Amino acid sequence: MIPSDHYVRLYNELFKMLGERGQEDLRQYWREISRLQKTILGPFIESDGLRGMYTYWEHIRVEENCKADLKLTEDYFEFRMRKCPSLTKAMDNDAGVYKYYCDHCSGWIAPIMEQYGYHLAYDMISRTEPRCIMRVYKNKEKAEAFLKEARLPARPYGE
Amino acid sequence: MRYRDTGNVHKDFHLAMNTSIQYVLRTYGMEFLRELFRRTAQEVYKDIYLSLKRGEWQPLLEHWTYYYDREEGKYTVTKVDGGFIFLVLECPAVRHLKEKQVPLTSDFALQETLINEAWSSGTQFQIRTEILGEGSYRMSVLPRPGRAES
Repeated sequence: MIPSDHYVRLYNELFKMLGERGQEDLRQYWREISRLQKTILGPFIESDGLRGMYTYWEHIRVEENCKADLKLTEDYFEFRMRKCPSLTKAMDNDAGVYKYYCDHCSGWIAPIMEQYGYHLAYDMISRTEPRCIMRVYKNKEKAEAFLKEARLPARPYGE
Repeated sequence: MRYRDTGNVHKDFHLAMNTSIQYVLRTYGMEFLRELFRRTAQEVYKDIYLSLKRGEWQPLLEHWTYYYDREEGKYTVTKVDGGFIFLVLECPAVRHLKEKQVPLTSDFALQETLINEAWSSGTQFQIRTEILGEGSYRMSVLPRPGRAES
């Protein structure tokens, strides 16, 4: 058994192998993970929209031992990661971190939000610091405005 | 032990493991999956691999007992001459898939067979993985015939 705690390090190796083949291989894999995640996250969004996202990510905050703050406004849901356990583990790793490790988060989240008519705006801040800011907006222009101010905006599908 | 996690456990990573195995097999085939587990066994778990190369099985046993305990798996350990047998009676990963009503295929056990294959490659041990039933398997870490005792 690969322990739950160590899955992200295997994930990190898979990203390296897919990245060696090309960006499109990575994207196809992110979409596959997105389809899985939709079965888990989707019902929260369907039943309660942005508030459902808050409920889901609050559960993630606790279960994945994240140091993070959540916020819900009329316009958006925000998940502000102060210490990401996933990147922290990928960096604390004898195999070394994949340089684009952080990009997978927006890679799986963006397709789900698009399917539900929301807009993901993701500031990775830095790929070597385990912190980031994710916002999900109802309004596309507001999402784009947030991305314009981002230090390292995620554009997982190059849009 | 190189990695030692505490706090809560996010068991849904087993679902991602299942999806990833299926996806890699379907898209790239067995050799790509074998290479993924080789990297994981020998580069991520470099300390365990180097220990096995030195003839030391204790770090692998410590790793398994720690993480099967952490995820409340059921197992027994039998020490044998120069190695040990780790018998998993209830695998936490399989249990989680069943709890989530995710169909289980024999491919899910590749995470054991391929990582054990990579851990034993080029070391002083043979690691035999026998699947005994749903969520039950025996991993026998035994010295290769003719190797010097550590």
